[in-house]
Amino acid sequence: MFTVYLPIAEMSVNFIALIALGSVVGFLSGVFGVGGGFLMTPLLIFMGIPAPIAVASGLNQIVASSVSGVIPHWTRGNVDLVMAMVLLVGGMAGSGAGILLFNYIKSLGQIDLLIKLSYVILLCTIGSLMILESKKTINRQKKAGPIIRSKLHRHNWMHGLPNKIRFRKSNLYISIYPPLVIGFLIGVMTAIMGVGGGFLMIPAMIYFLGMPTLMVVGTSLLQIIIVSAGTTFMQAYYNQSVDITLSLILIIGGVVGAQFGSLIAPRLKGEMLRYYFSLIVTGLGLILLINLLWPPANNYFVNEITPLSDIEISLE
Amino acid sequence: MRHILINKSIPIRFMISFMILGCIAPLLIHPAKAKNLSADLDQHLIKINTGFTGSDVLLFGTVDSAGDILVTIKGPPRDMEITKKKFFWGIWVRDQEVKYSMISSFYYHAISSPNALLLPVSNLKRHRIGVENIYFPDLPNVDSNALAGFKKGLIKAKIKDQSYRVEPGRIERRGDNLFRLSVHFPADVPVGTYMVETLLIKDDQVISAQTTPLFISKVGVNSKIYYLAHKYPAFFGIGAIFLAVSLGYLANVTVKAFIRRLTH
Repeated sequence: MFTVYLPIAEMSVNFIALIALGSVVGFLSGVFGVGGGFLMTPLLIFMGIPAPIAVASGLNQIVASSVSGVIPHWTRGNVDLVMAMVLLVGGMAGSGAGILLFNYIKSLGQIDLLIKLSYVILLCTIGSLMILESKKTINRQKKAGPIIRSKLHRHNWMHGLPNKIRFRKSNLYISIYPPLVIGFLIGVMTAIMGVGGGFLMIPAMIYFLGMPTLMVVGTSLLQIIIVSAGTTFMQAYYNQSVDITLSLILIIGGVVGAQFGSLIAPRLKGEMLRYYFSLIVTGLGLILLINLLWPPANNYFVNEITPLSDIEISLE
Repeated sequence: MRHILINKSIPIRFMISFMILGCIAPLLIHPAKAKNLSADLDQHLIKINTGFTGSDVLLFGTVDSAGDILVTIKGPPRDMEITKKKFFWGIWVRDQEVKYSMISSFYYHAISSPNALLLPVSNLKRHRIGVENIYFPDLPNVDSNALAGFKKGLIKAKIKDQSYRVEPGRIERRGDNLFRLSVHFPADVPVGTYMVETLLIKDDQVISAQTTPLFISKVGVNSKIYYLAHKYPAFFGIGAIFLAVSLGYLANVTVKAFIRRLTH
């Protein structure tokens, strides 16, 4: 009926559920500008898709939605190429290191644990921070009128770092090390968790680097495209965990959802939405935590190895 | 002696004919025993394609003597890694691991009547009837107590995902001679060669047996994708990226046109 068989995951899933998942996550990313990967992967894991395949296939979807998202920014000239270049050098190094860690933990047989644990920490931390931030914003809105954002990018110690270069489009003259480090950390997360990292990169770029808000989304998207594409390749090459059917369905759903999201976004009240969103994120983190702590019904786990020869028989 | 034989020379033609007859004769002489049991499947190939939700296979056949019928279906042999998990600082982590080679990945049996299972245990073991009699090789390196735990855990896991079915199915009999059995293979069965063995049991003995194969394979796009991803991973990775980038670009272009059409 509505089931589709995923060849790499070697399981059948509900086609409608997958499209819905892709659309909802795409919609949210269209509304908030970010937030694709870190919702997609845990929800895929809940649907029963093995964690490494969820990570790699979701990452492939992030490439598609980021390409789709970067084009309007690019055409308006809101992408700082130099900054993107520095970020992605750090990002490629980070994702390389991340893949090495991923493969090492996988050889120990603990990769499921690593992925789920990282998500628990990420979702609960981000979720709680978002709850606090959005609650503060709502309360302030109730008291006074518009919100005045304080200038937070005066970090004097950073201006003392060496090797400064000029980031013309962002009007910055800062050391290359902060963007390299930010890119590196995001790259590690991309490799291990299959997230684009925009939701961390954007606040970091605004508050740590002092980039103008206009440049931030487009530049981060460019970095995400390159690093996610590189990581997808590495996951496909080392772990053969990219399920192209799964990615395809998620891409289609995600792209459609994102367009609806960005259409409706201006008409929605951002603050209340962010609050509900933060509740969802934290809730998801808690559910994953319970999943980790819950004693399994059978404490023996079986991994069956399908020899390639059994597949080759069917090829004419 | 030799002298006399050579004089009595037999023509070559006759020698060749006798030799040929000598070869064929054993084939022409049947023991006058009728075949007790014959069985076959309605399909010998199950193809897994996109949208595969499972498949039903019909086993049918005839018996020409009284007795009970028992069918076992054993799935393709697989290497299996069994990992024991333990509770560590609040989380379940992996502990010991044991690897078995060539274990049946699927088990199912069906009977025409409960009497079929009254065979002596040695017969049950020999024909591997029952989940507890599935063949598990000895692993000398592993402590036998721990190994018993691993084996039990493996069987429990396979019963849970329904690749080992404990409850026997029921073979239906039609009249004196015909029988049929419908077996359901769910969507996530292992691919490979299955052996379907039909036994005729009488007086606590297996008096006849027939084996027929069943092939389950991924065909078409699915097997090609799996094969590509594993045989040519670099190419597959580049292909995946190319697909994502093109679809992302395409999405942007089409939606822009769509919005323009809406707002004009």
